[in-house]
Amino acid sequence: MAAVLGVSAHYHDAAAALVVDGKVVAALHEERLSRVKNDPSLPRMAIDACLTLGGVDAGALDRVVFYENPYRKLERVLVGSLAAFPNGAGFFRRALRQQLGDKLWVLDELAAHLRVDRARVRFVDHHRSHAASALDCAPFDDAVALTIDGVGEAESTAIWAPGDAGPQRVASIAYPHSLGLFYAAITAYLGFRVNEGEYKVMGLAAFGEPRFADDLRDLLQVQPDGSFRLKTSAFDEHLRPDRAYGREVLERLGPARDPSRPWSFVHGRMEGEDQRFADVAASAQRVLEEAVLALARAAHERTGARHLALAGGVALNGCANARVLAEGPFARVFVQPAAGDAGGALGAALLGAREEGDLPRARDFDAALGVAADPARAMAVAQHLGLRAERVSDPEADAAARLATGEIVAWVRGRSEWGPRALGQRSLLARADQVTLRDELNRRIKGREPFRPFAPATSERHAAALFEGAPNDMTPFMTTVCRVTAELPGVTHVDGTARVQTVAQVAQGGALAGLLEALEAHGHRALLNTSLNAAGEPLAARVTDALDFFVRRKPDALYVEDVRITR
Amino acid sequence: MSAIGDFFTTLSWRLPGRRWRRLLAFAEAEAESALELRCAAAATEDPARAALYLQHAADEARHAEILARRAALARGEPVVLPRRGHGRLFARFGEATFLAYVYLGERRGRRQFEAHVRFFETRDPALSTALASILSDERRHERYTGELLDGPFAADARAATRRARRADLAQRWRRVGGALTAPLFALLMLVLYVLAAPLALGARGQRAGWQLPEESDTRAASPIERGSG
Repeated sequence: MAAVLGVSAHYHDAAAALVVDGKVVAALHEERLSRVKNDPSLPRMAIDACLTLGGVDAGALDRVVFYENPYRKLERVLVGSLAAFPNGAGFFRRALRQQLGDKLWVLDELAAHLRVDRARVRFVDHHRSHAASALDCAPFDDAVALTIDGVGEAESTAIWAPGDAGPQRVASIAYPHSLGLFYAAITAYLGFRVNEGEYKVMGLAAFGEPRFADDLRDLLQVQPDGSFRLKTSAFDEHLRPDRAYGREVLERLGPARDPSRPWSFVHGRMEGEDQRFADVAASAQRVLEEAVLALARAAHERTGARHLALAGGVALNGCANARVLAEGPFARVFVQPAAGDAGGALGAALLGAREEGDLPRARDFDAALGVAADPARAMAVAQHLGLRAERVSDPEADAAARLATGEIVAWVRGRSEWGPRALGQRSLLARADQVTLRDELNRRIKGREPFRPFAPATSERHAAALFEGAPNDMTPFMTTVCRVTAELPGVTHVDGTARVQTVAQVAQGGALAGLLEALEAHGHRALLNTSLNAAGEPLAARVTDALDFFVRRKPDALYVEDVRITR
Repeated sequence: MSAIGDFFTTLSWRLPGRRWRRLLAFAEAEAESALELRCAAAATEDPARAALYLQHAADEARHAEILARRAALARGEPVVLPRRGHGRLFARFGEATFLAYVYLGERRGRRQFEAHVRFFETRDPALSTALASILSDERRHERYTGELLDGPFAADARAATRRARRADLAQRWRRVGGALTAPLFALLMLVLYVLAAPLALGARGQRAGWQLPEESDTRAASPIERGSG
């Protein structure tokens, strides 16, 4: 019977998670509260919010667990810069400034912020945190965890078997041989922000032909034993963390894309030079998928497990996850919604709980772990903003009627989501069958790149009729894609797939369940569901965030529980 | 503002290649301010003030877009607005000091923008008009924050203003200190790097392929690795 706080910070996307008596009671990304996208700073606001949500006083925490070993990380960074002598001088300086500035003191910072005894603040391995978040939250036993990211302390990839004391490492691959680094380099090459734009690469890939795949296979070679070898001279990440690709990448793929230039995307097609960049994205996606599939097969061969739980930043690649499920040796595949570094906070808390003697109870994982919606406050603030705010007796029916007529609706329901995807708690919704609505959303309301697709939400019982292979263990959290088999042009990507969310029935508390039911009366079995934020901003969490979005981006209506807000 | 004050405020506009950079810096400051105000809107208990902060944040976000657009025009090619954090003033100092900080910043901004608008009136009328539209918002922001300080926060306004001035001074000091010490730090790190160079001989690259626990976990028995910190 213990209260354990897990924390990830100081790289990107800091987060906190609270586990009480083995149960996950709260989990929050710092960005949702600080409003700084992918905020890497010590998640003081998220920590305080988790403690408030869990009703736990900081002094009552049995353990505080940081998600990685800061000392081994420092060692890897310093050794890496020395190994690159003399080219690593700039990196050495930057790394020491960051390490000495805050990273090295993170455990003391946590103890000071919480005013707890420093001895209660511990750390665990980066990839072990990922593995715990995957295995303990997976809805099945007889599983193996595969963790894949850029780098933890010293490894980039690992296979984990479940054990009484938590995940046990079976085998690992050392940095700089890293799929995360490979994909980050391509992300930077295409002009997107590293650690943020990777899912844009995935979206862009569908518009291209993988004509550079052989070139990239030379740089990322999958081995017969399922491991891989990165041609490290082509990826000098340790020298240019904002860029990651080297001269050989430019020689093989051509000049990199200028991030400030608008995309030449006309009538649903890439034009001119941007077609080459789409081809690069398609090639990188193809090679990544091959490597992930080989790793999954290796994990199966080494453990014989029937099921797979994936974690690490690469596990947010829904297209790769779909191929692992379809072509890999596992009967079931699960990816918890915050599979990236934020999820390390969850894994660290679960590992701490185990060490305190609690058996984690996260099998029925629910992503609604953030701050609650407060309709009374929404109503009061909205009225001061000069908006029309009123209680409605049946918000689902009311919103469904608006959606059916082609309106765009912001939807705030229950506690905010854990992970990067809007799962109906803080969503922006529209009909799924209209391309014009999709384009209006991209251009006028979201302000995103024009090639980015939108995702559908549908109830579990209709999923099989609309999407091939749905529902499965990943679809509730939008961590995979499925082929669309119905006429849903607003949410069908150019390759015929969609990152579908399947929603549990009302009785099981699905935030969109009632709305989807109400929408059926209007002849619609799916919704376009996108995150309640504009480009470059974090997903909304509190009602003031939703109102801020409503005022600036002007969707047609905002529903906060049973309060309808219009102009 | 005096003619001398005007001259110094607008000095950097006269330097070649500075215009777009300064406009971009203004855009960054406005974007940062919008983040502060969104956090304040969430943190204040009073719904009326939450609404004021949200409206103010929307203004600042719009200003950031206008200024970034003008920076791109001045540069002749697109610019990317760098993403920054913010000072978390409300959480650190409370609402009264946050308000005083915002009030002082708006007052300073209003005075500077008056000088900028005058400077560009004949030199670049389109930019002058854009800055004037921002100036009218700055005046409104200065007025409402001043009224709040004189109203619900009157009892604490004077002390809050002192705290805000100290916080502002500390921030400027850190910025100047950082700029002054950066070259020294860079030099020290270069010396350290060169001195540590012999260690590079022992720093070999990691081999590819699977490593088993006994290979990758050579220090697993150390207390740090077990997590006792």
